[in-house]
Amino acid sequence: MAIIERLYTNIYYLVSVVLFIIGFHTMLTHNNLLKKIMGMNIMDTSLFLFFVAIGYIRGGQAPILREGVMQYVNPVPSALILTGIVISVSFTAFALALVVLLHKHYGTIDADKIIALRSKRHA
Amino acid sequence: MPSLIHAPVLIVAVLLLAAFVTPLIGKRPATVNAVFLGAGLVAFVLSLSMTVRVLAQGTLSYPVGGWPAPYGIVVLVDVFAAYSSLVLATVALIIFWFAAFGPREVRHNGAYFTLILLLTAAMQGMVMAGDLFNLFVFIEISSLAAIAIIAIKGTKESVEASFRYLVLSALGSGGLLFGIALIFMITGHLNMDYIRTTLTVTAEQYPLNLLTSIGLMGVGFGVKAALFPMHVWLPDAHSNAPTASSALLSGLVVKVYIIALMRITYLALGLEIFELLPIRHLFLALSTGALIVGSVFAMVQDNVKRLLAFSTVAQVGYIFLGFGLFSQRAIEGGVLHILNHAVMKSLLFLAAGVIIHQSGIKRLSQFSGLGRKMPLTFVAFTIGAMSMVGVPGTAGFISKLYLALGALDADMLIFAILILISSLLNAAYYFPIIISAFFGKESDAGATDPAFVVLAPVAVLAGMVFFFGLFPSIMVPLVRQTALLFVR
Repeated sequence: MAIIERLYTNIYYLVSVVLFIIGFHTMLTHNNLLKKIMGMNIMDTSLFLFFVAIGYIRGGQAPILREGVMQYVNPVPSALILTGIVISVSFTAFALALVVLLHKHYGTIDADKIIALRSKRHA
Repeated sequence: MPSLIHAPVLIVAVLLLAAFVTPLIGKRPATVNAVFLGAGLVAFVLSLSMTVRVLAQGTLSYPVGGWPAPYGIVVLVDVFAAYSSLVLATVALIIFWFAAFGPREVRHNGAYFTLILLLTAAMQGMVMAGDLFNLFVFIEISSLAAIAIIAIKGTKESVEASFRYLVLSALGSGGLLFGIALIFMITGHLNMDYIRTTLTVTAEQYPLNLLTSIGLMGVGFGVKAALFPMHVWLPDAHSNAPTASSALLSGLVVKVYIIALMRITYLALGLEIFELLPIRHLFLALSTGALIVGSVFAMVQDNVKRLLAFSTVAQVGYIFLGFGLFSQRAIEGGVLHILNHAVMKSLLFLAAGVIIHQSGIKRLSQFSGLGRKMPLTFVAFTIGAMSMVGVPGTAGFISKLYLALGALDADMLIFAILILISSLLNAAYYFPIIISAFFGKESDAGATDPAFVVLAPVAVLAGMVFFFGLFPSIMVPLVRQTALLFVR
């Protein structure tokens, strides 16, 4: 029972680590460039969840001073993650732009095929 | 001068402002160049005066917007930051000149300058950041700008290389952010000073968090700094970029991440970390790999820019070697090598770019006799190559000497020998180029030295190689005090 309770209290951390690994794995092993970008986004999102979970307290309220509220959620991680999301969006946009260019040059978005095409041109 | 207190933020602000202004001020190249170079010059002057101030009055801690830590953001300029900022500003200014007046390789100069200015601003911010999250934001800006200045060339190869760089760089950023989150989790602070004081209490309670965090951050910075064996993206990325970008990337960008990593270790984690964890041994092992593998791979290259890129992998090893040996003189050598390598690798990349542009020849096997046709460029290339090998009188000799002496201080003779071997390897791939260029059979490729305005930055860098080789004492106050931050 103790282990289930422990899992329950740490569920956000657990889920974010699992998501991180899924994203990491997708990014490194998939040949499709779009899937790589999706993996990147899953990884980033897992980090956002992790960061926000650090500041979250069960039953805590938004950090606005009010009568009768004793527990507040830490607002710092949420504020930081806004910046993190902006960074992630710009990375994604730029990566997608590069994929469009790659497709124009090579006619495919498969990493292996691109490498094969490149080495054929060199030979 | 009271306004000098604001110098740290002004450097970043001026560069950022110029980055946003350059694409807006119209198509006239003269105005665009003026804004671009003016911003670089202002950053250089500010950085120089800030360094003088830091040397005279000690660490400069600047609360942004007047909000004190831990609620506000603090920019912390110690000697290491001031030194790094000065190196960045100086070398960047020279490369700016080349980007403005050198051979044109990109279609829109305005957009290109924006990216270069963004990159420089982010690097300046990174070396001076006093809290982890600002550090992270600057790292991301610089990563994105660094990837973009490769892709802007628009060729098939450069787009492909920059996409690979983007994927690995994003992985590194992920690791970094995770590491920062784990540290924030056990300290509740992002300000590096506060993290250090809190960690003295909480590190023992949550060792797992700290260990995971260090591992993730190590991988994150390792990927971005191209530490062996995480260097796989570097050769393609650096060799397919436009010339000015190659010089910036190889000369400055990879080193900034090393500086940021070292700043985190002594500012946020505390130096005890070096005694508690085998970080030094890891650095030593990986830098040994970098020195050997980088040089061996460089030997078999036929494309001049790829050769220089592989040489960067080896030279990054020298800097990590300095921090791995961890004796005072070794750290001085490593820190000095940040400057020396920035100067000589930028010189080599710019010279190589000029050679490729003037003659249309990329392959080393066709360099034969080219040196007699464009003597000035090849003399500059030779100076850079000699410095890479570590011929006495050049800048490269000084940092290698310090590293070797530091290895002896640390009672690790084997690394002094390693430095010697690596220098021999360097000679083995740099000297054949020079010999065939000057004494080889004349080829029929037509080539001449370019105009003075193109050669000026190359000449200045060549002069700096000799200047820092003959008068190394000029950097001693900064470098020695930086080493004292680590070895107390």
